[in-house]
Amino acid sequence: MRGKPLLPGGQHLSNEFLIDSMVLMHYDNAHDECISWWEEVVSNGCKVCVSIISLMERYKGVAGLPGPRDDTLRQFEDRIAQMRNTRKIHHVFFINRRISAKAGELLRDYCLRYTPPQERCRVEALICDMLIAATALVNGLPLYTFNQRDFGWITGLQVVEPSYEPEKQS
Amino acid sequence: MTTDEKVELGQKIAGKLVGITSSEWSKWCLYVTQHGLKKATQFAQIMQRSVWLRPGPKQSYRAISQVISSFRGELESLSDKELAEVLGYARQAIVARRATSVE
Repeated sequence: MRGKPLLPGGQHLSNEFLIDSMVLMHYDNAHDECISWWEEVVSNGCKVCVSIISLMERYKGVAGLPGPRDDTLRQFEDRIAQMRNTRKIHHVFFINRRISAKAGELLRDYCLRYTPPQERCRVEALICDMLIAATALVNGLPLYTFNQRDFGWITGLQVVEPSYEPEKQS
Repeated sequence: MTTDEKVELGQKIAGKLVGITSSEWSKWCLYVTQHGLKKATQFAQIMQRSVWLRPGPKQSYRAISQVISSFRGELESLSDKELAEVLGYARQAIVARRATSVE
C-alpha cells in the first residue's frame, strides 16, 4: 500500500489540495521553483485542484502578455486544457450554491473583524479570495497559498505555504 | 521569413509550452545550435523519459518534445540562423510571461 505522499520540503499532508491563484500563476508563468515543486508534488501522487476563480483571475494577467490578445488567451486555455489532460490539474471546482453561500458567510465575518478595503480592485480580490477559501472549506481541502494574511484568520481552513521560494517582484 | 513572422512563430511556440523553465529551454536551444534540430528533438524525447532527471526538468523536456514536434515542418524549413532567431524569440516570450506576474 502506498504511504501518505511526501511533499517537497518534507511535508506530509492530504494528497488532495486546492492551490490559490498565485501558485497557478507561478506555474503558468514558467517560474522554475514552482514548476519543480508542482511536478514533484504530482509525481508523489498528490492531486492538485484549482478553483474556476483562479482561472478567471489568470485571464487578467495573460491579457497583458505580448502578441495578439486572442492568441495569448487561447494559448492559455490550451495550456490549462493540457494540464487537465495530463493530470497536473486534477480537478477544477466550479462555484455552486454551497460555495457561494459559504463565501458570503466568510465575507460577512471579514467585515465584522476588519474594515473592508475601499478600492474597487481590492474588494474584487477579497471576494475572489473568499470564493477560493469557501471552495476549500466546502470540499474539505487544505489551501496552498503564500497569502497567509488574507486566509489565516478563517476558522477551519487549513492554510499551507508551498515549499518553494516565490520570486521577488521587481 | 520576415522578423515579424519569426517573432510570431516564437510567440506561438512559447505559448504552447506548459511547465517549461527558461533555464531548460536555454540549455535545449544551445543543444540545437550545436547538434541541429533533429538531434536536439531526439535528445528531448530521451530526457522526458529519463529516470535520472527530477520531475521539473523532465516536464520541460516533455513540453519541448511535444511542442517542437508539432512545429517541425515550419522549423525544419528555416536556415540555422533563422532557427536560432525563432528560438530566441520564444525565449523572450517565456521570459515576458515570467515577468508579467499579475494575478
